[in-house]
Amino acid sequence: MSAPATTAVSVARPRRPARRGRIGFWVGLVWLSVLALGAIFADVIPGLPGPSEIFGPIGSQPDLSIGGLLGTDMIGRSNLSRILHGARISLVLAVCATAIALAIGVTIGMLGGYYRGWLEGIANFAATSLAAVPPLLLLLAIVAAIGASLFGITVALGLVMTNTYIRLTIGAVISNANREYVLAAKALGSGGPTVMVREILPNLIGVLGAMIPITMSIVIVAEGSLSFLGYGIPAPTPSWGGMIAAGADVIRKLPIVIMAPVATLFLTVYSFNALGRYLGARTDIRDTQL
Amino acid sequence: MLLIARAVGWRILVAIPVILVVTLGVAALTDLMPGSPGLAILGENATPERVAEINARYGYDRPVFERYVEWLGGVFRGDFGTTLFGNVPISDVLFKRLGVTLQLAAFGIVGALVIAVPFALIASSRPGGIVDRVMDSVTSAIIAIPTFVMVVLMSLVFVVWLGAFPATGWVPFTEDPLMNLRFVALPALTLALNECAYFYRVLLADMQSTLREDFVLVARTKGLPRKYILWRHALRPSLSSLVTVLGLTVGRLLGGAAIVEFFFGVPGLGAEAINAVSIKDMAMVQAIVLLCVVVYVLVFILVDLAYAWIDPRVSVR
Amino acid sequence: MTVRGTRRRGRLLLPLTAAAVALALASCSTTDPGTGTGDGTPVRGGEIVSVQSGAISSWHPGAVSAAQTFQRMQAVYGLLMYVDEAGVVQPSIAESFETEDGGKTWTLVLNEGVTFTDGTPFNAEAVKFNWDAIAEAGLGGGVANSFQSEVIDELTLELVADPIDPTLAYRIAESLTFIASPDSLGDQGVEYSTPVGAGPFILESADAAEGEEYVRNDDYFVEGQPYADSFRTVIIADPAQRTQTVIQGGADMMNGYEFWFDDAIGNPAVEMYRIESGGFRNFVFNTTAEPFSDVRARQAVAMVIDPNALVQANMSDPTLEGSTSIFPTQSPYYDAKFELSADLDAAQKLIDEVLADGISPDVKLLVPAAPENLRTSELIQLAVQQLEGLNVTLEQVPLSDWRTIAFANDDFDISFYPGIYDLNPVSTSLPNALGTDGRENFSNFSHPDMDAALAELRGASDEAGRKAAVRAIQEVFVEQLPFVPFAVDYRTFLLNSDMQNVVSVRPYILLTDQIWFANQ
Repeated sequence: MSAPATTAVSVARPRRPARRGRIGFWVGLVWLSVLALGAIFADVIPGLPGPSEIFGPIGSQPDLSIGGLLGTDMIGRSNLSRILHGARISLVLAVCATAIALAIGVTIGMLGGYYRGWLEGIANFAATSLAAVPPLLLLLAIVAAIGASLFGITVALGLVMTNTYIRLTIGAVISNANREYVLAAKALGSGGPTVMVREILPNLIGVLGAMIPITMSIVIVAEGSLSFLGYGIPAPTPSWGGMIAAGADVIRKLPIVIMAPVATLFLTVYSFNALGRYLGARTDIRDTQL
Repeated sequence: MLLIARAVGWRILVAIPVILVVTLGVAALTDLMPGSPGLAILGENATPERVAEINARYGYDRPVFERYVEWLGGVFRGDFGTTLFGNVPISDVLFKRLGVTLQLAAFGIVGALVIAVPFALIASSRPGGIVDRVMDSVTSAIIAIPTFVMVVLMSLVFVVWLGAFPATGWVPFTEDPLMNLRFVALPALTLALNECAYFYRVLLADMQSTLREDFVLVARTKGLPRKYILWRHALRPSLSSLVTVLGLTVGRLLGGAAIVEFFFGVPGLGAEAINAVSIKDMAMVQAIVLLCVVVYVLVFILVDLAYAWIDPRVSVR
Repeated sequence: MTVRGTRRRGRLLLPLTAAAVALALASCSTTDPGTGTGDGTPVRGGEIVSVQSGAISSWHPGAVSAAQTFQRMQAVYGLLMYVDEAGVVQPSIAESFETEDGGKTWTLVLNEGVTFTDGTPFNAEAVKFNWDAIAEAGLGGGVANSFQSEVIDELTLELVADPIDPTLAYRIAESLTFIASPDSLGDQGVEYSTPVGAGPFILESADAAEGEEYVRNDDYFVEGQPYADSFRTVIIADPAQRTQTVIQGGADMMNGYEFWFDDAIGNPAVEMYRIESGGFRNFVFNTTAEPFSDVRARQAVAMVIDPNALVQANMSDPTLEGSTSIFPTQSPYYDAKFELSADLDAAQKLIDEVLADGISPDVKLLVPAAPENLRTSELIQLAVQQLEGLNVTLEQVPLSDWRTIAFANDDFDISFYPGIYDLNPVSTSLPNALGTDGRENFSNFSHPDMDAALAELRGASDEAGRKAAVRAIQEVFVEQLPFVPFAVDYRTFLLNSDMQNVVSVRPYILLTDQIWFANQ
């Protein structure tokens, strides 16, 4: 057979996806930065009313004023203001819940992966147990018991995300544990914890770092789902999910009320996913949605 | 045969502690409720008698282990307790709802496969081609759309604009198969669209790596047509990740389809869970969690066995 | 008001209906039942599908509550008597129900030959059995406990009301109009779930999540009725989805509010049917829990609410105007001096006093989950939070559980009421809403001045007396404010346009025995 025909099938990694990934990465980064800035400075943006302020007539179309840039909702509050304040909740929740998941998951995974034996069994058991319940169900059960406060929801979301990090860490630690640099450190007399923290952990940053944006996007979607169902952060604090639920019945009369939070949510989740994909996360074999 | 039985038996044995721990955890959640559970459920204006009655009925006045063991005993007898407001046996409600959710999940998964598999095959055979690029963007977009947004958009397009499907409702299959299909169509389509994006990406990644293997090169060298290679030689080994994802999906759909069920009025397990949470019917929540975990475990056993069938090199321990 | 006038009408009603039906049947036999022309000649056949928000909670004839229970009970039990849209009591299975001495003794005469579907006779004994059972079980809103009954003969029952009650006919039509077969009811309480009645349909199967199915009772006491072959309910929790279901033909009737039915405008497949009497939208205080056990707190909240904003948010219509009167302006009982006014400073002073007395500042706002209820409740929350010191939290619950949580469990401080209070006829609805142990008294309101004024209303024998009593009631009301009205609204049915002979009776149900479909 002539060479070109065979190379058409067995081709080394195609170039284009990497370049596509890069555009997505930068667009995502820009969007997230703008969103974060808007959320942080929401209180001091000149001309932007508070999220609970009755700013104008109900259901107005977008106009050129700052408060009315995205129109008003069915009570007369500024949609832009509510979206930015909702971003605060979403982003803070994302960061804190991910931090909790990281802290607990990496610790357990590290101990299990390094010491192996029954510790690894326990770590795997913990991960399996957490993964065995459908995430939304677990969230709902926790919220039913401890109520829908910011703290409660953060902890609940963190717990749900932990199993991913346990497994990720175990796998990464095991593959690292027999490398030369670890053996060298041990030979030099470093004890277990030191080796784990000083030597292995820094090498996990790549793998973990790729997963973090994905986790954040899952958390944001999860919080949105809870708010949509009515169990999220209680009113009057705005949340994207709550705004989407509230806009569902006037979708024909006034699509902006639902489209603004939908677009924002979509762009944010897409950005996090793009970040994660570019950093090399494997988004496929994860239950990454609720 | 004996090997398979032993493998299955071993896995079930290992799964039992997981089931126990998870359900114990949920049972313990009730103790986290502020005040006594009876008070938290009925509200602070309830009379002390009613609070005491609820506490007694569900055993909330006893320590969690005692309560849990008693609940387990009941479960083995098939008794999950009674619902909070209607005082109806939970097992009655549970199994009817499970049937509905399973039907919805089945339709959804089949739909997702029907969409994902052909596109993945085409895209993998022409890397960088138009299908590959378009599907990459489309599936990224779908993955970024949360389920609760998807349901609103699907309802807008198919119910309000096109009027093609009923807005909500359900008729059991056994009662009226045709009406049942009409009602299951839109929720199943929503689920299918949600899941097909994942299936596509997983299958595509696996197909791409399989196609780079030597045996495919050999097949091409032998002059076999492309379609034949794709179907007969490349698809089967690539199925392993897909099977994992399928397994995960089934387990996930039990609870995760809750939003779809809730919005479209499908009387499934997820919708029941949402309702139970809102009135704080913890007994119902516990029962649903148990059911989901058991199904999840069973599905994973099947997934493991499927691996062995797909790839004879993997032996069943 | 006596019911003598209705007796004459009632006397004629039955023969007229029979004649009409006979005529209809005569013409029916010459036309193919499958080609109804819709020209006024009832055609047999078809299925009436009613979409409901939840399941029926109990089939006990005394467990009468909202329209969703009433409609199903009408199908299975028929109606002894009913209150028509104009507010007048009409007999149905009863031939007449009247008093000759201003409400002390009443005589119930039944139609002849009516039987329950298990073959037992629908006679005076059966009626007394049911009413005694209801009285003993403490059901029926207390009406069954307000009289003694004695069987005179097979078809006649005599009642002695204590206290004297000129309005007993209304109260019975509202709460005691369903009679079950004594053999079937036995000594069961609210767990009674296999209803046997004398109504136009027979219950065939029921599912608490999906709905029930009923088939025609061929032995219904009105010859030729019901026209439809069967009746079915479909349970859908979300109002928007219910609307869509009717528009798409998945159901033939639903009751709701006009602003739900925007999508139906201009669609020839459906029709809207508005009940003209109207009622008011409101939110309710729990007067037995802090802080709203203190009347000053209630007055303060009433003073910071803007009824215009509330009604505009509720119905998503910026052109609407609110109203704080419990009667619409066209009602004869309307009096402008009973409208409430806003005053933030005075309200704040009241709240400061209340909090200084150590009353709890935590307010739980219960929201029956639906988008329009949520946004109205958010607006209420915003308004109340203008009052410094109060701390309002929202809690959403499913619409179908709202009654249990609010009414049975009293688990709220303020709640948006997901419906309208229609005060026509005043003689039953005002005591229901404002009287101690009233059937619709969600606020657990109980005040001796109010009960006195309500007793005055009950004893009033003419329109002037009634007006005076209603004035007295309103005076106590605006001072005590167990609930705060903010808008007038009208109940509306959304119906399949092929539905003919639509007769609506209190509380917003349709007479299923009279409905027939054109264009079958």
